[in-house]
Amino acid sequence: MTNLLEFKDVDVHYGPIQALKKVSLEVKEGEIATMIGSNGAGKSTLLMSIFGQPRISGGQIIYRGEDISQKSAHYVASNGLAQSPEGRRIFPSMSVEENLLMGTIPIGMEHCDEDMQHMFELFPRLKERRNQRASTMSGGEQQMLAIARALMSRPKLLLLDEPSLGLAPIIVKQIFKILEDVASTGMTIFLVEQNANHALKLADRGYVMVNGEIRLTGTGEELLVNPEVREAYLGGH
Amino acid sequence: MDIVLQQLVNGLTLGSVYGLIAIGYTMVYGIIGMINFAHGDVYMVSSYLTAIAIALLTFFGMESFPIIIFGTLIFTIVVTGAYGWVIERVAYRPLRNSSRLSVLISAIGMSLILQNYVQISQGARQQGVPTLLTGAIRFDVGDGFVQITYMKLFILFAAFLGMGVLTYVIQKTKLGRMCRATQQDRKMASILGINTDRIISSVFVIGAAMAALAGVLITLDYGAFDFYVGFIIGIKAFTAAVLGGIGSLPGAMLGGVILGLSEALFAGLISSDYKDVFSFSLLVIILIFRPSGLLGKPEVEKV
Repeated sequence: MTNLLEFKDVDVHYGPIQALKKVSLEVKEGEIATMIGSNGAGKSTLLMSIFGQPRISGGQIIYRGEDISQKSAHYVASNGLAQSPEGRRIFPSMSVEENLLMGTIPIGMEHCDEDMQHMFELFPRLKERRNQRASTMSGGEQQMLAIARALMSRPKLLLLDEPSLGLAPIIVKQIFKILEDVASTGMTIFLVEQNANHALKLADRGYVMVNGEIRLTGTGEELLVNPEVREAYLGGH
Repeated sequence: MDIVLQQLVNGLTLGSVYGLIAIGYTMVYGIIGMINFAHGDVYMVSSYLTAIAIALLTFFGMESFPIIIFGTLIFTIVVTGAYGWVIERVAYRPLRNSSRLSVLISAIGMSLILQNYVQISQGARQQGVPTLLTGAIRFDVGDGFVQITYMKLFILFAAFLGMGVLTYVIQKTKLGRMCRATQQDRKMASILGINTDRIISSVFVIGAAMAALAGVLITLDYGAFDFYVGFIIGIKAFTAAVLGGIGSLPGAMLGGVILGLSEALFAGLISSDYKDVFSFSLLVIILIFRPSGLLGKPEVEKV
């Protein structure tokens, strides 16, 4: 399988603080890769650096053979990368439908109706609330909206930043079930999570990030049984 | 009674024009959080462009009112829009990541540059345009009468049409959605593939175009203008934007109409010398009770 996305020795600095240290990883076409790490490990920084926010201070980010580390965010988005970011960042004063429409910017309105119907099938809650202002929805619904919005651009690579954050276990389960369905259509997913249990069960391969460095890497199953991972993320069970 | 009605009509006309100019303040504030102090001077430039357009059209022998008015509107709106685009490009975009104060000072600088540039290129004397549309409708009310000039009717029609079209564009079109997305979360908008710099440029062009519409209408009605007209009307429109809730598009229109009406009623019934005192007092009072303006949303810190 070819690499869709590859980080080569990427450094990111916030002023004097180094948030990512020589991070190298790859996401292969058609797989689900995951990155687990605790708060402040640099997971969100890693995802946002793909869109140049912040710009990396060293190394390369290669997407489909092209170094995109100095490209503008809208250029990256127009080339098949979509993100459901940290904090969901849905547009609060827009309706659910309008939020979904925002996802179509990179590909235009051609498949809009069809895709929106598809999203409503994946997330029936969104259909019930299609004309409601996004800010009035619950956290779980907002998370679904953020994922659906990202899917509306028919991305080649879907980037997800902690879709389980702050949600009830039952909702987390639903969301991971939907991600599994989405992945089964062949979409490549790169999932960043603290919820190691769910993420590693879903993923083909995983990375563990500690303090801005990749500490461990392996298949999902390998990491799930790794004593270090169990100790740090799975509560030693 | 007739005075009240007459002043209501006058106030509504004036207010709709304030609203048009206030749109430029409120949209720019909404999208990049700055007060564009050069906006009043963009309006002033459009007054001169109006006179130039009328002179050109008359020179080429086009004298019928519809041709002159549409020719003037198109020319002035396009050229003023270009001014808006250039101003953002040279004075604000290079400071995109600097502090708000730097941009504010740049805006004041831009305002002075525009005033002096027009003063040097067009002369400091007051200029004028001929009256194009004469005549009025009269209604008898009690002992007196209310008179609405055709020009005032045209202003009302054009101003509300302009606001209606803009509201439609912002609410229903793709460009409008992209503007709102950029206003609500610029970083997320760029991650979704929106070229936010281009959207910010469009907002400046839209604001300038609305000011140009106001400029054509007021210039045709009053006839006279000089290089300093942008200052006071700019302050008034800014007041209207704050009154309605800066950042809110319907707020700007509502604020403009309220300001125009209250100013006209105060001038007609109490004293025209103190009408500005009244309108600014109104602003102070509203801000005491509603610090974010009539339709503005209180700023919520993002968590």
